[in-house]
Amino acid sequence: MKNPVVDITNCDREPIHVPGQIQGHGYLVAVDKSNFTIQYISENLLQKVALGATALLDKTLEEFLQKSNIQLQAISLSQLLNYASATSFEGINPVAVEIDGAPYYLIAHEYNNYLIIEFESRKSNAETALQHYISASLSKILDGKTLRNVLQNAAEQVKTIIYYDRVMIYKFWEDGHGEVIAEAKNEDVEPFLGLHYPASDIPRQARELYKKNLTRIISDVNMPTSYIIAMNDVAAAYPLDLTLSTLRAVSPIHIQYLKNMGVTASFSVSLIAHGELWGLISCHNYTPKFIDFKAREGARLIGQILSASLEYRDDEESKEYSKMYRQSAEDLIRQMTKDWDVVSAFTKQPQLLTGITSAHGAALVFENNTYKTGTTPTDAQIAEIINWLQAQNSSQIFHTDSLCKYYKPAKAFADVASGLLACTLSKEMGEYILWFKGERIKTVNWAGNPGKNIEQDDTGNIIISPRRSFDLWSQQVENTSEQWSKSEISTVMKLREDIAYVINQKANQIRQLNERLKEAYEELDTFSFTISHDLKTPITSIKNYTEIILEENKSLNEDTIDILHRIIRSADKMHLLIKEVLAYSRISRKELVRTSLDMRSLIKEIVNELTVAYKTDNTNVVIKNTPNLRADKTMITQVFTNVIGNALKYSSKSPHPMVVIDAEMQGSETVYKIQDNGVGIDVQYGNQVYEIFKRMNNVQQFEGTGVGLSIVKRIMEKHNGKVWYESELGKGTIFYLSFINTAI
Amino acid sequence: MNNTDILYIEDNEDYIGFVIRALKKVDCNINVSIATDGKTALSTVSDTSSNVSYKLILLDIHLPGMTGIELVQKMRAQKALAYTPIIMFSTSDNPKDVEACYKYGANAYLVKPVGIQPLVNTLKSVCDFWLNCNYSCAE
Repeated sequence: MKNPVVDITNCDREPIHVPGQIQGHGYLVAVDKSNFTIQYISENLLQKVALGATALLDKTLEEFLQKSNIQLQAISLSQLLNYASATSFEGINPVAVEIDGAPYYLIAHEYNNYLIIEFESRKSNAETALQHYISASLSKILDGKTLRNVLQNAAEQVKTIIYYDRVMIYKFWEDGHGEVIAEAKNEDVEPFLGLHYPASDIPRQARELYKKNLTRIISDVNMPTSYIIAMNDVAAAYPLDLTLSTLRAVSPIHIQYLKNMGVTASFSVSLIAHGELWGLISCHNYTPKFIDFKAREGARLIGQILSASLEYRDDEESKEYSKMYRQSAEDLIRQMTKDWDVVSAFTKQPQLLTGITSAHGAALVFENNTYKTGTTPTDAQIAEIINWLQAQNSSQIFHTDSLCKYYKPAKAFADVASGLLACTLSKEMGEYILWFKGERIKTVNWAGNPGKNIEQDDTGNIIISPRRSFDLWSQQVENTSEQWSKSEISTVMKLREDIAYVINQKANQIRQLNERLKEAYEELDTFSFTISHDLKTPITSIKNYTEIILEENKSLNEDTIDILHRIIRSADKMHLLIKEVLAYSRISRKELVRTSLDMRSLIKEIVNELTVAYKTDNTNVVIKNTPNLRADKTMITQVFTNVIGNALKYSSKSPHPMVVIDAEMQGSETVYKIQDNGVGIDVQYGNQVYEIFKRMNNVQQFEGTGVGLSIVKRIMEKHNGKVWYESELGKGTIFYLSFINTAI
Repeated sequence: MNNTDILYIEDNEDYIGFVIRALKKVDCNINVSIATDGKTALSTVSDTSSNVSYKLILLDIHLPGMTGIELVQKMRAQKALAYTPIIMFSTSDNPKDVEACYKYGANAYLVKPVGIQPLVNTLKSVCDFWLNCNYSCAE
């Protein structure tokens, strides 16, 4: 068994514009544009004029006409063609001629340096009535209030002009498949209205051709075609291009397709909106039916006017919506620019975000938060979608009406989010706006199973054959939402630009605020430094004068002496406070100068000084490991002075005061540990101990300012180190100081 | 006994009083001249009409107009004061100030002590070291 590769687009490669044949209901001759010598001629024309091909070698058109039984009225053909070449062929077409006394139209056009002249029969009777018909038809068509009415009217009016059994308006959807959206038909034929046809029914190159040549007729699928004979080697090498011909023989596949459908004659007019093939006026007859050039031109005119109205009506209907979308987007942006905040604009008026599209729900994923409105997937599902989007190489805007085609897990929430329109704010940050459209289960009625036009021949080879079955074939289309319209997408694109601007502005504002904060902070620092300094002088005066009073007045009574001593103590306390605040504020001003510190001697020195200052000779101070540090000497002295000082101070009233200083390496850090058996810290205060001027309730009987640990914390932060403690009330405290090891 | 002349440049009246009082306790033969700003101080030291020669200059940093740091620079530039001990005497212990003063030629930088007795102790040390004077004043 072979494993055949199916190529459904096989038809797409058939060169249908150079079939080498014309339909049997007319005749063709093509001449060189410059000298009018005959290059190609249809076999049936040779037969008609009873001439052999050799007789026409190197002959001009005029010479051919003279030999033939074709009669032109009045003017010579070459004069006519020269005139047309200079102006337009539309101006002369069709030229009434007679062949063997029978009425014919001559239709000429120029293509690739050839003048192609076609003859087809003419119906003398209907001519005058046609103009009247068409203008009446047009006013009826354009009466329609909605697009559907207009199209229905058009189908009916075209039917009255060409008298085919069935006239359909066939619309191409974005994926290329077609749907019959209006139909006028004889009572005895079954309706095709609402049927869908697969894209392969009208292959791509046929659609391209339909954009260039707006009408085509197959008057009888059973009529034999006629070959085009090349008159010389050059012509033989390049088959004649019949793109703009009216007689072009259509693909045998298409003929078979029509036969399978039971159609004998077919006529179609292209409908073009915004330069693209919007659809067709497609007409079927179940017996042979020729329509002459003028009637076809009438239908073409209707098609053109319908196309123009299509553009206009299509626009008008989508305009309503895009106006609504734009309004919502503008309101949202106005809200955002009011306080330069993306999130608050959304949370204040979430309906604006959904209003930007026809979505059922929307979500804003911004700064690690998810804000939702309407019907949406869950936060977790949204997070998964974002992950998936981030991994895609997609553009700023991604949209689909069937998310699970791209992202399988979406099947789980297809009911709320089959349709996704995603707008990237920042891919790196995973910031997106998502719009969701719920599933709309549609039943599509196909004219025959669209997957079944591939057959195998006897040997197992795959052949593409036109479909045989046009039986109604219903298909449930699941996991699909309404499509995203162009205006929805363009509104979102615009919104994206606007939001980017807002975010940018906000970032600028934050930067400016940071600058101002930095300035204010520096100013405050300078202020505290200056004021502490200036406070020192009057405090000194207060203390000194008090001492002078005490010294010089020997007759003071006990109470006064006591009061004066209290003044002195207060002045001392204030002086200490000022000194510490100065030290604290100086830390941020000072630059860190790291040097290698001999910690053992530094700690010993500190302990000695503190022992004298606090009079803690009874305290047993144990110094164990003291690994050296690379740090700022002044600052580290401050840190250890404060921490060891606290340990000495708060254990000084214990029965057997003891302070242990130890350190160990823990990975990349050196951790110093200062332990005492003092009053302890209530751990519920947590980090409040580091707040400036904060003193715990149980230390009121000890001298202190509440600045020491603030200094410690600030210095440790400046060294990228850490400080923490463990404590139990009444049992003691352990302070830990951890330093990141640096090369010493 | 020859009196020893000291120039004290200070704008705070309280402190002027404290220093005069403290110096009297250190040595009653010390004469203290006062200047309350840098300009006055400069004209005092360069006044050729007076035959006073200062043995020591005490100098505050935070002065109106010219700062003590500028002043020490200017004084050191004068030949007559090239070897005169200049002692900075300030409430500030800003390391930047300390550094600047030594750089421009101050002999010492002292932070003003708080309290009379510490002040006396400090000034006594200064005089012991820089003036080597007699302690003839009876307690």
